[in-house]
Amino acid sequence: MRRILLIENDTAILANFARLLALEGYEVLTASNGVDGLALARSRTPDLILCDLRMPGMDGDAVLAALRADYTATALPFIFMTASADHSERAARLAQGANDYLVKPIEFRLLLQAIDRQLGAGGTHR
Amino acid sequence: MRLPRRPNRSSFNRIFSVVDLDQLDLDLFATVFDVARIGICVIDQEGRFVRVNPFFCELVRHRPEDLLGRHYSMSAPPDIVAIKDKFLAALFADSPKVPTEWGIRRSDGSIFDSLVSFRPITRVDGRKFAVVTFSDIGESKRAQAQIEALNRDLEQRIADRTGELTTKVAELTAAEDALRRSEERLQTALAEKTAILENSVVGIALLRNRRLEWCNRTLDEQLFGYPGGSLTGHTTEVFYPSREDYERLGTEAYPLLAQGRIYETRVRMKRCDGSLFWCFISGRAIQPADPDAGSIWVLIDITSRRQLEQELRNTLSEREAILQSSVMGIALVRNRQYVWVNKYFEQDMLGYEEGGLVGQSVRQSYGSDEAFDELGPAINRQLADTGFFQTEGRVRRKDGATFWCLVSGRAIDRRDLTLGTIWTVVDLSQRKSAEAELVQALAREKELNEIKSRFVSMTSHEFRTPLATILSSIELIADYGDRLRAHEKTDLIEGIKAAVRRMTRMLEDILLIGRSEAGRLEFRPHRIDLRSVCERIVGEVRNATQAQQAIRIGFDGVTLEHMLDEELLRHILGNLVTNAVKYSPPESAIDVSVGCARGEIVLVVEDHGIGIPVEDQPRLFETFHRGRNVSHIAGTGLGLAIVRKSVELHGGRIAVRSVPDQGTEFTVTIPEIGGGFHA
Repeated sequence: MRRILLIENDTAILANFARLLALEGYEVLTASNGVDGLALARSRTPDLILCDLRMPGMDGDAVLAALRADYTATALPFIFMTASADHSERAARLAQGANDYLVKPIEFRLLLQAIDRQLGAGGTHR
Repeated sequence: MRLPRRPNRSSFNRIFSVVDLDQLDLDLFATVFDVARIGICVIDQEGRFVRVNPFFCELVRHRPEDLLGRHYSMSAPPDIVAIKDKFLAALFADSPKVPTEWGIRRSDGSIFDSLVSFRPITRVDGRKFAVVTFSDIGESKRAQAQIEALNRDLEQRIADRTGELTTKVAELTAAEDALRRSEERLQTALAEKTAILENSVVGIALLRNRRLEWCNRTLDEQLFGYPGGSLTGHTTEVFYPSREDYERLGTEAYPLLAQGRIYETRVRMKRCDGSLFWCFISGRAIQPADPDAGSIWVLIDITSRRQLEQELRNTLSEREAILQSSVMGIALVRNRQYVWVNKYFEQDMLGYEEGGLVGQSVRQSYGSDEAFDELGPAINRQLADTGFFQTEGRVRRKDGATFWCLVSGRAIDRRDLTLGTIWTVVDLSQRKSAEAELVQALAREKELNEIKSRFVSMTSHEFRTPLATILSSIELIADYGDRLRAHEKTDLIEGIKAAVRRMTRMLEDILLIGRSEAGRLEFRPHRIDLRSVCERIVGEVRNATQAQQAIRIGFDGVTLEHMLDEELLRHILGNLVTNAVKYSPPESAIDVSVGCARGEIVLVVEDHGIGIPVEDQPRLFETFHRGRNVSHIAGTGLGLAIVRKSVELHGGRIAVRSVPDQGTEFTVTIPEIGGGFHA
């Protein structure tokens, strides 16, 4: 079973997406801030990370930067999921090493598609 | 003369016997021979006088007896005497002889001119004789000569006369030509003068005894509006507004004219239609001895000129006013001396009294003597080159103080700098501070723009988050509802509602702040139960924020009825408590106290949260402002702005005390009754 790490500051969104991913058969790890998220990423080695951008303390950019020091984009896919509506930031974030950049509110199917693109439909990749 | 005696017939017969004449005829012949005024003589072949008539004797002044028998040579002209034989031969030749002119010799040796004719005759006996007739043509010759002389004389005289006349005629012709030419010139000149007179822009008149002898059309038609020529012979009184004016001018003018001087004045004249106009009039007598006999007058309509003069005066005073009211110093400088300065420069900028600068050297206005010496040549070079010079430099006031100015000079003529230069001086110290103000204003505007764009992106973020909650909740219910437990669905629905409420509140805040800034917020106090209203407000916040902190509320001196605007109160208390919840940790406590004393309501909201950084405190209540330590916490930056506006509307005041990471305390004081005003 593929493991997804969900790092999201808003409680309701965190809960809803965790529920959704679980219902879709993923193993879900959750963190509500960047520090916890990074620790989880290092210790539990998820197959993919969904990460919010704006968070207190360590924000999404910092988490990405820290991870990319150790894991390549192919080794550890990283998708931003943010309410910051600046679509122009997408390119910059991709250049920083993010695999994708999604803007909330996002429909489930689009989210699942984005995940599939990184992990391949079905099966693990490792 | 006595009649000669009757000739002897026989002697006559002896001579003329050729014809046998009748006795009567012989007598007749004899008479003719004796009486005729023609000299007749008969000469024989030897040339001797045989017969002579009395007249011949008279002609040659000989007695007959002295002649008869003598040789003709005593009377003949010398050259005939010389050719004696030839003559005789010729004489007796049968051919008739043409009468010839000879000079015949008289007895006293004098010569007389005679017409001589010869006729040879032959007597019966064969002897030949010549009849010679003489007529004294002396007189006729003389007369002829006289006539000829007279003729010649006459001819000469005629020739002379003709010559004289020819010359005279030539002279006269020439004179006539000259006359004609000068007449033409005169005509041309006259035509020219007439043209000049008639086309003159000034009216010209010739007066005699104050009557109009002649005037050009400019005068009668253009100036005065009369039909051309219609006033000839009239007195000039018609031109004057009144008889008094006519007489006054006459009294003033004619004595001057009599002195040979020109009279000039500006006077009102009257046109044909009765209208008056200003006129410049100048007159002079042709002969000062008798000005009435003839005077020439020139009239010019100066109405428009007077208007022009007035306009010029107006313009000049406008210009003067402009120059004097200028906000920059203006100076005309020649040879490094002030020639003219405007008041602003002299008095306001440099602090001199009026007239204190003109005539002075500009040296005293330079920041330093060195600057005066150094800049002089540079200025002249530049002015001669481009006509223009500009620099920033220190200018010295009368009291010695200096200040920075922008000094610009423009040469009146760069080819001749002695004509002078116009300088304008602008006080830079003011401009510099104005610049600083401008920079400040720009910075402020830039900041405002940044705040606004921050607000826009923040608002966008603030709406997207609850929208994401709503969408994900609905999708879970819709697509996975069968796999959800009942309480999960209830929670999801609650989550939707909460998100909607959150968005609604934000919208209301935004609309509220918009209204208040547009001045449309109103103060409507009612009697309210302060305690229950405050409790309700706190409950709403607790619900809306799902606060986990413990919110305690205390009352002191609060009665059942207070005159307050409940909505404004809700904005104030609601936002302050919401902030306390947002910005403090869940386990901390929030204290609200509502007190009432001396006609004032005092609200205090205290939390133990992240506090407000000192730098943000001054601008805490500004719209869109958010502290630098809250970027991760949802907020529009409108809450405290709304609080302050509401407090102001209520006529109250708000104060804040805060220590970062320790807590914040807001104190709101609002007057209870009356107070407030419409926004």
